[in-house]
Amino acid sequence: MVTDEIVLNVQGLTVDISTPRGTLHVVRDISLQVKRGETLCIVGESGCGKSITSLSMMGLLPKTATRHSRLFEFLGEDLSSASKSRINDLRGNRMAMIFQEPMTALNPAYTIGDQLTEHYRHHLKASAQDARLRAVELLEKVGIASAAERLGQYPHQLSGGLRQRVMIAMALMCGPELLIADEPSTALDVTIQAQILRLLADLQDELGIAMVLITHDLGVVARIADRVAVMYAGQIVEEGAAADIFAAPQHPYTRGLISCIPIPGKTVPGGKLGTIPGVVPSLIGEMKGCAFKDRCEFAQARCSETIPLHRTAQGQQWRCVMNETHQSGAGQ
Amino acid sequence: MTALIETKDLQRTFSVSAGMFKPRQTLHAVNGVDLSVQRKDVLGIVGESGCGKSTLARMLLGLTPPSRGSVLIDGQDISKIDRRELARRVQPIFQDPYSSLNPRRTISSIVSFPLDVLGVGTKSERRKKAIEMLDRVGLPARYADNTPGQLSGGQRQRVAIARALVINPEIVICDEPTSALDVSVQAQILNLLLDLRKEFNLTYVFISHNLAVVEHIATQVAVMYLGRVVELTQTAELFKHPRHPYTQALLASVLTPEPGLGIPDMGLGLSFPDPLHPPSGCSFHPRCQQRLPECSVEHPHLLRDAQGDVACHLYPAKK
Repeated sequence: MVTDEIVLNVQGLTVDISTPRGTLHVVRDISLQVKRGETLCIVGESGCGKSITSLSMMGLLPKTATRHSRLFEFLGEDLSSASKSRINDLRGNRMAMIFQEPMTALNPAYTIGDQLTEHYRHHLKASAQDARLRAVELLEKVGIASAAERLGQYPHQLSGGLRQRVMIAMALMCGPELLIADEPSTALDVTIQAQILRLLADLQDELGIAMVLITHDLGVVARIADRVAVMYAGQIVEEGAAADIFAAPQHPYTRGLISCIPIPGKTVPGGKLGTIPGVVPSLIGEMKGCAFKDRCEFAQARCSETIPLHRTAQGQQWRCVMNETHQSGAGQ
Repeated sequence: MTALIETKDLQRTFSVSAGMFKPRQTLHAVNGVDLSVQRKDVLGIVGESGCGKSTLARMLLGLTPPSRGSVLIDGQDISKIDRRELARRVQPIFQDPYSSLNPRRTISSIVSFPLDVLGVGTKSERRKKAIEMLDRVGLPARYADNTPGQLSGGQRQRVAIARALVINPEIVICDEPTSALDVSVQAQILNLLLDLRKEFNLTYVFISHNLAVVEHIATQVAVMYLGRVVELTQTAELFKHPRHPYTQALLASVLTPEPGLGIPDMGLGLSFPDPLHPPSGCSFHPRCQQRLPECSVEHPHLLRDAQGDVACHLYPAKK
């Protein structure tokens, strides 16, 4: 159930990373809001800045990165200038994260039980016994049988799907209000991927948390998202309700992305798939106008100027010089 | 008509360490696979990780010798074909274009390498041919003297395709060629592979875990589970009337970008079985929703009828 309570409100987020070749502007002035019970999917291709966006929300950016934002509000508290210890209090406690690759995110040298209980004991000052009970409860909740015995096992003794379930249980230990999942199902087989997404959707429904899901897979987005933000070259080029975005994508990049995907029963087998010509622009230096203009079939002189933001009554918004709306799906 | 490429009761086992002081165990990576691919067909092979698809690909390429059974090309056993001759006829495209290209060599030398090995023409002719092929796969000549590190993932996969095609092979074994790529690049590579197939009369064996991609490119599909082919049929037929419960579950798990359909529940349960200790009878039975009493006891025979091949106790349907 999507409520009206805003859990995370980020306005004007910018992340720069300094490299020997110059400063990378990986996230350029993006704004996001997530409500309690809502799933926001951030979708985009590699290098679009979606993972850096998620790391910046958790305060986990690398040292070479700098973050600026006009507003960074979590549960009504402005965190843009919060101290490190305040962020440490919240992270893993009120806001939690699930990473893509559970084998590298879990420590191979500690048991599942140690890793599940560590931050619970730290944040809630719980006893070892209570933490253990909570861990068993959550492992059962994520569908792991004989949970008590699993606590003594090491990550390598579990399959990829089970490890990802452990990651989810770990993220939920302290009962977070905000869950950020960065490609939670990408490293898994298709059948396991569906199970993990279903589990996330069910848990979110049950616990009423706000979820930000980062993915490159529009199939995942279509099935789980309430709202979608499409990122390209560090900017959000289109945002809106999932149903609206898929029914009537407005930005040429969104339409291009959707037309690239073969759909059994819809696309003609052996036929031409849509493509997006060209490559992603360099993130070094200032970007004039629309970042997508070099690859866009509708590019025109105006694209190098300031790009207007269009907005429909339903709240779908996109940045493009063209203002006629496209009603149908993308070139399928 | 003899098939261009055919496998007969193909098996590959690996001896796996079970731990210190424990006897080594036998892993059946590929367990009795019979396939045949006609010229200009595209055989898609799908299955979850660990089902033996990549081992099968390596055997088709002659890189891994089978433990039992044989791979035939035009009716000839590949173990009896000279390695160079085999390489001239069968070429690979691998999944990861970051590790399958030598980072220290230039693009033109990578693409002309198969020509060097086979001693085709002079050095400048080989370079010319490599550049022509690069041009054909959509990589401008200005990249010829770059190294792979200067290219994007999609461009590298184009280099891998050019290298595979430069000696005019008949068969290309594509092992997850688009899995490491972004969707927009994946679409470009799929379009390219389809064009090249027509232009050069190629036969593909296309391995992928992405069923939507397989549906798009393949003419027939083999579904593998724990080293065995459980269903093999024409692509359109498979997607319209999947027969094996595992195929049905795989098809149901494809997440297409169609909002409102929700996330499917295939009821497959949590665990992929341990390939070292495969379940008795039909290896899929512990996860199967439609299992019968005999499924845990007896291994199902492959039924071959007008619709294709299926190995399941549900078929032929009992009256």
